Amino acid sequence: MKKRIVTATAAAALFMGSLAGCGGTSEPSAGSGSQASSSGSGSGKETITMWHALADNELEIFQKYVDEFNAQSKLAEVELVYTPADEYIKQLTIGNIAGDMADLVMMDNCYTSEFAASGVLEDLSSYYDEWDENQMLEGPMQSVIYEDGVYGLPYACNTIALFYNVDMLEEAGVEVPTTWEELVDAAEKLTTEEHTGFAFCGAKTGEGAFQVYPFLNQAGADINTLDSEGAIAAVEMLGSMVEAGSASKEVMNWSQADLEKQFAAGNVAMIIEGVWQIGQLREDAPDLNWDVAKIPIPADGKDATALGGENICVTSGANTEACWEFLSWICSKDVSPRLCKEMSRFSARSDVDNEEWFSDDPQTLFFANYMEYTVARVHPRWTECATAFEVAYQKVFSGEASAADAMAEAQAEIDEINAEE
Amino acid sequence: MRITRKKRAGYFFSLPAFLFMIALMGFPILYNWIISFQSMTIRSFNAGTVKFNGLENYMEVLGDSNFWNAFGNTFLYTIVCIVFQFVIGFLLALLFNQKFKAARPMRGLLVISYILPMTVVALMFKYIFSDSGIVNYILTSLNLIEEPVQWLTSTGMALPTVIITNIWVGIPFDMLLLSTGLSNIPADVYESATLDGAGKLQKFFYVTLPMMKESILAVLVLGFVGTFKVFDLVYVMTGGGPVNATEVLSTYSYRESFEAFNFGTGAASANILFLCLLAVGLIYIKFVGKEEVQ
Amino acid sequence: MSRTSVFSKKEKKRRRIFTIITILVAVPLLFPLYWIVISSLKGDAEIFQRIPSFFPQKLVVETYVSQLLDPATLIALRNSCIIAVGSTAVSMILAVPCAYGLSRFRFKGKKAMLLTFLVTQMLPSSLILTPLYLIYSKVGLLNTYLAPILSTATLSIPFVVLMLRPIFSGIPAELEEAALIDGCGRFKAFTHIILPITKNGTVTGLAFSFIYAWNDLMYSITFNTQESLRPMTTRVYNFMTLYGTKWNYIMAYGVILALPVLILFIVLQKYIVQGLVSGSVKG
Repeated sequence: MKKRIVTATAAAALFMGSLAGCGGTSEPSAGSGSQASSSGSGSGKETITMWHALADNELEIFQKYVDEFNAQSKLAEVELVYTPADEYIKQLTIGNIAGDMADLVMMDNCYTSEFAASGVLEDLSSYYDEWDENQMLEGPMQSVIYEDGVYGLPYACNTIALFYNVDMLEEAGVEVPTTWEELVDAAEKLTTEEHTGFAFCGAKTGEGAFQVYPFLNQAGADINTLDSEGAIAAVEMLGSMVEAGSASKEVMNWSQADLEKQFAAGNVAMIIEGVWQIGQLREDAPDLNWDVAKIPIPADGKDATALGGENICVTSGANTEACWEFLSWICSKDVSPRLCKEMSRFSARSDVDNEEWFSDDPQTLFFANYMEYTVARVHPRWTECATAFEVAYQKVFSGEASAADAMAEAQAEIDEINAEE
Repeated sequence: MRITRKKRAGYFFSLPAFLFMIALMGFPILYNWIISFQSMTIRSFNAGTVKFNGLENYMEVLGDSNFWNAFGNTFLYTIVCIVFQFVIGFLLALLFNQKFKAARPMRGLLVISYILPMTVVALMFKYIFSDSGIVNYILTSLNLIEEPVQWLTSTGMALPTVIITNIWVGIPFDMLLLSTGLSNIPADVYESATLDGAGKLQKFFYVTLPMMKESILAVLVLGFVGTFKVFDLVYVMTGGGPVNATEVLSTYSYRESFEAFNFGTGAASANILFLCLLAVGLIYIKFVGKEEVQ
Repeated sequence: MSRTSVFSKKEKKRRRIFTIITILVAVPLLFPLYWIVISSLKGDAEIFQRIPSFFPQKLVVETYVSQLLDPATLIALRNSCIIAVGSTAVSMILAVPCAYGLSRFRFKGKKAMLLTFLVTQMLPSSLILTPLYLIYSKVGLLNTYLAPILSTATLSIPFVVLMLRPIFSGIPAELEEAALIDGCGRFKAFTHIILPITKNGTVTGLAFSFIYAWNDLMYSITFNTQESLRPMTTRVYNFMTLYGTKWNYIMAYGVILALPVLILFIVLQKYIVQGLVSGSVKG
């Protein structure tokens, strides 16, 4: 036994030695793109690293565009580095502390104002103002603006809406709900032995906050007014369905992906779901008869839905000029619509003709036009505020506290955060 | 002469591992202590305004009701897990120490739950314990319950459910280590006990237990340390929810560091966790010390 | 003569009772494992069915095939092997002699050392990521196999030391004294006399070290941004995307991930149990 261990060890040591050897020389250490001279194909192009959390075929598509950029750029060579979405923010944070950041970082748009406020990102406003193609949608641009600075560009967006099972609604003789009242009523009528009426994501995660937040916006509330009448009414309304059983208690655990599966399996009649799940839904349930509609709003409210998608930001200290070249290219009128269409997202540009791009797919076209009502999640300490919000709505959904109490408590926490600002 | 040689031999065998641990873990521990006394957030770090702020981080953490919730949960979690894991693990170790055909393959099979990566276990149990999951299905089919139990979606049941999962993972750990301890008891000790007319129970209490004292201590202390800093299981199964029902110290300090980006309070809360474990460590060392003297 | 036959009858009954107890204990403990395997063989629709099926109505092996045919899986498996073998080697080479040293000799700082081994694993892993990253960044170990190898060794070394120490203490000192008189050095006495006797303990430690390293996710993903260096564990995220948690694939992935370790355990169990069997045979 001992002999075997020793041989294995020796082999391992040899192997490790050789690996460590090549590790030191060949690869440019992730991050700091300041050693342009050592790498590159001799053309004097700067290597720009970009962190992202795109997986599988999304990455394939994105890589294709990056290659296209690299082939035509004289300034920069973009290199992609993948970190899974669940680990992404942690990795960004550690990279930041260790001074080992990528030049470009792709991030969910709710984090941009937070990282901008933290001094991690470069202000691009001078580039943006001079850019002749700066015709962008307002909602997405909100997400990159912090105190007059422009801290990145929204390269692709998406949003959520109400998905409903046409057959189930017909069977129950229910119209597609347009107001909260109708929603609660429809959910109740659509709840049978076989399926529940309604589901949304009320998990204690960013996804949950993402889905519940638009209901507040519809009632004129936002993250700084959680204790307002509208905000309380929104959470109360959702909670009433959970309490009545017309929405499963599992909404406190389901991710948006889970919602799609439940909907595809016919376990629920209506869900709030993202446009990105359309492909998956068609694959999972090719015969399901479903359609999409605007998220129901309060009687005196206004349309609002969530702004999802990612921004690409430049980290402070990076070669801003080279980075901007890539950013302005990937968000340009020529590239952005085709890239976004291929990735099942929407361009953040205001000069894209939706009818032209999505005429072949009525459901996606609906979403493209619904983008107009997106509201960005903006707060310099969004994550912390969102956590307070998540705890509050979970207290309501689990029946642990009344909406008024839970939301007031959350608002008190946010007031404290705001006081520190 | 003899003593110095022995001493040198002791260092010769023990120092390399010790130095390795110090080299890799010394700095991280020190680093955490230092930043726990600083106003270190992602903002102050990038603005270059990190300052010494005394006990402020600790005061902030200790003044947070959710910290105390996490603190209580962690102790409850650890103690319940350790007790069940140990008792069941020990009984299984004794059972499989008997000679019968099924012993070996069974022990092999039972070990699998410890082999599986935590992430997979956490996802699996999340699936098994969902409201419409298999556990509720079986319990309703057997007429043991009328309504499905909200294993992970009610604030009352979530912590027990995560604990059950952790026990399931931990049983083989205790079982294997105690099996190893059992197998190291020389057979002649039992023989002489038999000759002295000792019964089975007497043998267990007067031979097995005393002979295994050190192994048992090691298993308990290792189990305690491992369970006390549980992270993946909770993080994946519930994310600390619903509400804060399953928040434990490690998820709390993770949140402080990577969600609130307040590294100072993150480190402070981790150090409180550290101090709790240190107390357990000191108790262990004291016990070990007694053994040595005897 | 008659006494032996009575004994064996009693013995048979005893064994039967043990087997029954084992089955009773095993059913609840093994059910989740059964469910993992069964779920890994189900199609998507069946996974989300309202009334769960205890056996797949349609056997789907695509979950396994697609993973095993993916070259990325094989690279990841290779990386897992390198990391696990490397880490196990480092940890055994350092920890086994250390446990021996701490059990056999009296020297200054021994208790402090023991405490250190406990203390060094008292911080949650997520909290030591940043400082470790700083160290590795300084010495150029980011994006090498050594980063996860060394990091996981810091988990297994204290474990092996604390676990083996009592086992070494149980060995009568006279054994090596005799060897020393025969002219063996201390180290030779350790490798030739002590290690073979405590094989079962050492092998258990080895198996646990292997599991710690094999199951590492956090260190690899944090220290190695290059995908070509990432182990099998990190592939779980391929099945937990924005577009859905692919339960059946995750379960299949869990089986694929656990299988090599299970095989290792089955092989090693011979050694783990050997001490036990030889003991009872003598008895």
